Amino acid sequence: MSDPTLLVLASLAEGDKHGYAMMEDIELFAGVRLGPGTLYGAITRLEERGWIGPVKTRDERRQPYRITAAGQEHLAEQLASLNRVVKTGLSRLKQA
Amino acid sequence: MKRVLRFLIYLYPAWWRRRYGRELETLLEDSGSRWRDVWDLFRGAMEMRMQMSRWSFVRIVIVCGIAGLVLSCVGALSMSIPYRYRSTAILKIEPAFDTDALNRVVHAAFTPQALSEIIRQEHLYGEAPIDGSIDRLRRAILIKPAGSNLAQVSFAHENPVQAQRVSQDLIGRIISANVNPSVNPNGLRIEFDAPPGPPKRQFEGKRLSLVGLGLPTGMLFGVVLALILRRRRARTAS
Repeated sequence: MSDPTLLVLASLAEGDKHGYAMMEDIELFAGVRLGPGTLYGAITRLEERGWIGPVKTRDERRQPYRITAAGQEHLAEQLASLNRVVKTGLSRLKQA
Repeated sequence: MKRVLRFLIYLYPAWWRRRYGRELETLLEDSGSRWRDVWDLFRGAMEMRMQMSRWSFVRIVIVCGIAGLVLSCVGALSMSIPYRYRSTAILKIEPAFDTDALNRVVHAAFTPQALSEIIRQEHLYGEAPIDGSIDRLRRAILIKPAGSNLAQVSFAHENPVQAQRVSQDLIGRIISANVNPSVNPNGLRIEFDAPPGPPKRQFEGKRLSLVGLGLPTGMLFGVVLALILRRRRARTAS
């Protein structure tokens, strides 16, 4: 799974995070380090689609984001689809 | 390195920088600088710039179209300039190349009468006035040293055959003028070393510079148009 938008959604599914926290978390659970341009590109697209939103905070420099209900729904769909691919692939590998 | 990364943030569109610029700067401070981030940020900035509104897309199309039009017009114009051919002969000067002495000989050989005769004989510049044609002919003649006792005499014209013929004529006139003792009191000997060779096409600096001019002209036009459209948009929005 290397789609940055999915990685960001998966990271925010655990809880609100700012940019650097997301970067660290994604590197930890997916082994992928998103570059700053890639990460903020994904954040921009996700916010435009209404799948994530900014959380009110006093620290304007470290803006946390939260996954929205629509974002959760989209993530669930995508993960289910991925899950089917993973299951199919694994079963076919066993048969081979 | 940090400066480079900060500079790259300025490549993002203004609306994006207003919204995310500060956050991204903080992220860069927190995560440390890596060279691979330079490309990542550059690519991100370009992607953001590609997310255009309908207006800006139209604007870019218009700007590019006009720039292309200007370029092609300039290109077409430059192609209409005829090529010029230069025929060169070498003169041997004994005992040695002497600029002053050669200038005296050339001055005596290339009188306005002599040059107008060449112009008429060869129909060099069509129906153009003779005074202007003489100046043009003088500008097309090039005399320069080619060694300690050699001088290069050349003439350039759009017709290669005429270029060679006129070059031959000019050389003959120099040699004839040199025979006159009042012109050549020091007894300078001038003779052919090599007759006018086959004319060579000249480097078309003018042609290239015209094509080169097309790009900045088109871009300038584009910038002006973009500014006008931006102002109009701002007025409409307010």
